[in-house]
Amino acid sequence: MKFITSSIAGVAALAAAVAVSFSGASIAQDFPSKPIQIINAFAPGGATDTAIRGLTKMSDNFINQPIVIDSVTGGGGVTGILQASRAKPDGYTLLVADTVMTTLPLFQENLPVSAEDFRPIGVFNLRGAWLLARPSKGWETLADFVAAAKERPGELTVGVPALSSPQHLAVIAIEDTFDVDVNIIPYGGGAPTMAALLGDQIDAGMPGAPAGLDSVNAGEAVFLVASTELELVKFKGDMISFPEAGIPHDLGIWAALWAPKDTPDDVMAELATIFGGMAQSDDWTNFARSYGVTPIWKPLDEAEAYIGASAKSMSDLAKLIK
Amino acid sequence: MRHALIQELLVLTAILAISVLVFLQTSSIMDAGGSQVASGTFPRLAAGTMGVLAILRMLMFVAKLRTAKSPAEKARTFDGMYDWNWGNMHRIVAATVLMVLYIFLFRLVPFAPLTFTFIFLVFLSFGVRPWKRLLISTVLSSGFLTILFVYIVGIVR
Amino acid sequence: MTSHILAAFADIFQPMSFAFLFVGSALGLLVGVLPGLSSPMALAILIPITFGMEPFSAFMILIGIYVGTKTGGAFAAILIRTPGTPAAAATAMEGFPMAQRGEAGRALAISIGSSFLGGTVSWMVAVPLVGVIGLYAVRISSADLAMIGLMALAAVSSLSGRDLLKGLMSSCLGLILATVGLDELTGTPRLTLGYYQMLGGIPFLAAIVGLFAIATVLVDMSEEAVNAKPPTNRGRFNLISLMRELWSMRKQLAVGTTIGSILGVVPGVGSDTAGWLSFAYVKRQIEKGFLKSDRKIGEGVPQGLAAPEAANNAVTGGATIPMLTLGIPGDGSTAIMLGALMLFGLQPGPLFFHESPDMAYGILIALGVANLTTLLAAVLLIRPFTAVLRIDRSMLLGSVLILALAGSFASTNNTFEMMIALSFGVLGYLMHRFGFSIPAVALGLILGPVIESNFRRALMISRGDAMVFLTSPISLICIILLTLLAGKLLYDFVSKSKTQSETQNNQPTNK
Repeated sequence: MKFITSSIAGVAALAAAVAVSFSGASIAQDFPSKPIQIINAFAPGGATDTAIRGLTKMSDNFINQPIVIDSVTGGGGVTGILQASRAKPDGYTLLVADTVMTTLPLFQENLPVSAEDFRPIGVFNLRGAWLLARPSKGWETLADFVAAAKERPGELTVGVPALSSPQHLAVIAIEDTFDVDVNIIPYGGGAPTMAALLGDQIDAGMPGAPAGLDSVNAGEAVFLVASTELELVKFKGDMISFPEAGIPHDLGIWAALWAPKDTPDDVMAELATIFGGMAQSDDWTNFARSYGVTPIWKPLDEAEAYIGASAKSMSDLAKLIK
Repeated sequence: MRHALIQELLVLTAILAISVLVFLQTSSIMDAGGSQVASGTFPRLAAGTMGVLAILRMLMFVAKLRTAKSPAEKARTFDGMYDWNWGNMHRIVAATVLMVLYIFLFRLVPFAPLTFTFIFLVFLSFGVRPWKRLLISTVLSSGFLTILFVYIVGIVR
Repeated sequence: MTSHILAAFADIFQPMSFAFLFVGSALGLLVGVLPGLSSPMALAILIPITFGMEPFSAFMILIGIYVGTKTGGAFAAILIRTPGTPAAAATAMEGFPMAQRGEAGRALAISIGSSFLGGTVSWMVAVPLVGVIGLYAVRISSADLAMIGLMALAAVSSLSGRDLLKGLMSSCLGLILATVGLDELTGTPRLTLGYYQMLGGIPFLAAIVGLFAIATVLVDMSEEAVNAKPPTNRGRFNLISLMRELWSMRKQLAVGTTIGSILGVVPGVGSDTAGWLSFAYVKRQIEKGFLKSDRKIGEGVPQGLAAPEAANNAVTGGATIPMLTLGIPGDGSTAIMLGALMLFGLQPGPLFFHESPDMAYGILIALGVANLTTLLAAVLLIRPFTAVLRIDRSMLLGSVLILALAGSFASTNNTFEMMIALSFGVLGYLMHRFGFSIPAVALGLILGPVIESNFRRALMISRGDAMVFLTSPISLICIILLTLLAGKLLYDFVSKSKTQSETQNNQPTNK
């Protein structure tokens, strides 16, 4: 019932069918009897959007019903999250959201919705932020960067995609660990951050991997450190993560599927089985690795514990800002 | 003409009021953030400029009116502003109210053809002529939209 | 490189690929025609169906849509004064009056021809420079971006309004509205009035739909002549006379293409601004008598239609090439295309052209060829679309309202945007009534975030040193131009009010 490892479509579909019939739940017997809608609260084309589309690309192998991905954007992501939280908790309306679920309340008060309004179905991928610099700076390792930052306190500019993002927190972690002070510049997105870095307008940039992967491989940018263990198959070089560099934080940007909090347990279990099947399929793991995210699968309680731990380390770091 | 004068002054006052409101709303964020320019600076800059321009415009307007001698000259100062046709206001109000209604119905039944038809039937009663053709266009456009959104988007998914 | 380009041409002119590109262009035209439907939305909807296709064929469709929408916006702008896309808003200024006097076919032909020329010429210049365009694009610093935005705003708002003070007030209003939402640099919520929906700012597309589509309908409804029908399309417009006409306005086309090509590279400024700047240029030329025209601006001057249309399509190269060569998308549509490339397991960036030359050169060449397929599709659509004019305008108004509302819903799947569209429609109507400038508000809304966040970011990077605006050449040039513009406007303004008051005192009949 648990593992569907075959990539052959027919076998996988059969396995999924078997998994469904053995799950034993009464409501869940014929669970997806209509299309499942997944709300993505952020603009199409972004990392989470690409990941969920990649995950559900071969959904036909696992369920007989289509999976629809709807971008409900606006309100800095709150609109879509709120809409998903208000959906009927029957397992047909889900939400895909990343660490923003835990970082948003850290910086915004009085939000109408929070992670408390949801139950995680599973965490399905993990990425990280990575610190990149131009080769012209002459830095080869994180130590070089830190030395430069010590030499010119408060002067080195480090671009981050957004304030209060995990990328921003990752820079805070570096500042805190090595007791340096850099000038953090928010750029309003991963693309402008990379543009500013490649245009030599900032000294270093902390975009979310895999942004800039191709530039690193081409020698246009130098990799210094990653906020967590990254699995980038196309990366040519040694990957050094925060723990390896002596930074006592492990900042992963995870993406998870969520259901409204009143969704019944058997439906949750069924959803976890369906999406667990997709998240452990070769199609997805191959795609994820080539895309540049780490495929993982932490269902239900495991996800809750994982997300809780991640939220705690992020809120600890957030307290260090300013 | 007195209407036009009042109208112009009212509009400029409204603009001044917006500027003042922006200033009041941004007073709490003037110290926000550690950057060189505070969060409230730009809205205030824009609002301040707008307010000054409104006052300038008001002064020029009054000055022009005062220097004008004949009534014809005075009328010209309004420079195309005096074409307010109150006679047709009901159409605008009706359309706006109907659109609000439409949005509320839309929340209940997205893209439902029934909603379109309903809305346009009400439209008709407000006297946008000619009736028959409007009815045809309504049915056609609602049908078109329904097909476009519900079926095509549905199939694509 | 040449061999790859030739191979790409060969691939694209395969019957199937060409058919996909054509279908994409035709779809793009339709999406462009309908107010509220945008190319990012169409691309996002289509991506799931392209999963089952070959990556190359899939991208033929996507690129066709992207280029097609740029041209399609003009149809609605010319025929019913409701721009189908924000970028086509400037097209309505001269295009609609032309349609009103029975020259809809001619106006459409000119706009399609200009789109084709603008897109193709800009692309032909861009292809040999493909390796460096991205590198120049990223060199544009925050200080430069802020000043480019400010200059574009000043140029358009001072040139496109009837009354200078009201035009400037309108820009200020746009700028205020642009600051609504979370402050990008501090995370502080601003002017949201307690609506969480506004944390991300005023929904841009809905606001533009309201300002241009709904407001126009309301203005038309309030006019007595709501049931008037323009004369039907008289006179056939043939290819030779079109080419002759386009040749006669080659200077305006060249300026439009240049503005579009340059602004396409500037992130966040893009096509919406390029059209207005080109229009402002033509307007100025006519007012100053540099361009001989038997008509006044606003009465259907073909040049005022051709320049913005050329500019609209000229931006495609500049916005797309950095996505291919650096992996940095220039706008919403290219961001979605980037995501689609990644879904196919491709990684755009400096190595893209070496590692997947078929795809990379294929996309690059398709961007140019799509102008051709769009031209073909658009020419086929001229006749059926001009039939719209045979319908009573009053009949169309309701449909436009519904399309605009439904379209603004579709952009984010959220009914709040419909309320925003409606509110901006009423605002736009009132502004039109009281002589304010709607384009100036729209431009303020578009450029406000570009100006503000980049201005502040530049100061953050320089740690408060304002010299940064003078040391960067692009920024310095913009500041000089801005100063000249401001001086000129002030001079005109003072001398105008002087002569006005004099003539008013001496000669009451003379305006």
